[in-house]
Amino acid sequence: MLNLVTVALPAFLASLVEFVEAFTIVLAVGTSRSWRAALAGAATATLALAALLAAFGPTLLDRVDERVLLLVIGVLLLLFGGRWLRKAMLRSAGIIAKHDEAAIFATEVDALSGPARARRFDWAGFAVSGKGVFLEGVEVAFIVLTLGATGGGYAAPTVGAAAALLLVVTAGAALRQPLTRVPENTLKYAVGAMLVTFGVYWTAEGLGVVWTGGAAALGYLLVVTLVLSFLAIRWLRVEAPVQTGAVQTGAPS
Amino acid sequence: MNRVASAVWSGIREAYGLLVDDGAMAVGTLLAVAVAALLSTEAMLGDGDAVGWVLFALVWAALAVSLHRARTRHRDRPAS
Repeated sequence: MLNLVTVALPAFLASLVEFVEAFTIVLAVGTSRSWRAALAGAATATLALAALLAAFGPTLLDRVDERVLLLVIGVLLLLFGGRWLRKAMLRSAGIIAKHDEAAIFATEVDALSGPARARRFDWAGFAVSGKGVFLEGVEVAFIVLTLGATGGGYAAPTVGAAAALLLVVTAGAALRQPLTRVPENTLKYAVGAMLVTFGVYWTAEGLGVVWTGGAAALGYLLVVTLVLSFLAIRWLRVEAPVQTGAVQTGAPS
Repeated sequence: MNRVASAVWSGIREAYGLLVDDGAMAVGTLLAVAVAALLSTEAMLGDGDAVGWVLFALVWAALAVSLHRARTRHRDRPAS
């Protein structure tokens, strides 16, 4: 039960955000260029990710000393989660533009405008789709591997990520438009706070710290993180128009 | 050869982008871990979880500095 809350849920939420972003790119390529290229790019990226996971995944992680593993993964989560939390707080305060799937979709379609040549495979569409899926997929793989290596097995985060993929693909196939109703900014804020919490918890454990209350420390560290971030957002708010529109695409966000 | 080097460089840049938005914050976070590691080896703070809380506070300090810098840049930027 604890695994479900502390590992599967963060993996589900973080993966949901990444899959929505990947879906937007594949949809943009599919509708503006070629569905064959979009799906082939997505499939190739998925295979490349699977190969990477097989090479650097559980087998490698299982060979490393547990405390070293906790320390390395904790530091990576501090950097990765800190980046998400920082961006989410700046977005909430209106300092940077909020993530807008509809605007990103329009930008991608604009960038890809120009007909793909009939009867020839659309390599440009293939590359854009493949790169988008690969970059977002790397983030999912990173989250699943780190949570799995330190949170008591890979089953819970894998189930969380797979559930997110299923949800996005099902909703996307039904709607055939960008999933704008997914509250990405709120999700990123929540997941950023969770990842920073995990980062502090595991880094400290890697340094030999024994937390009061054991795994319950994740709960109180998360509460303090959310309170501090809420206060920080209030402090950050400036008298300036709130930025809206698409964030830069082509980089993991 | 140039293509391989370019692909490797692109991979490095993407991995960096995955972890770092603000270089100063990333350095601050690594310094926070280094200070916590030093305190834990010197056992200055006893056997409890004090080192963990120091790490938490230092990570938040790095984050707060980064947020302050972003806020200042936003405030000082000329209106368009």
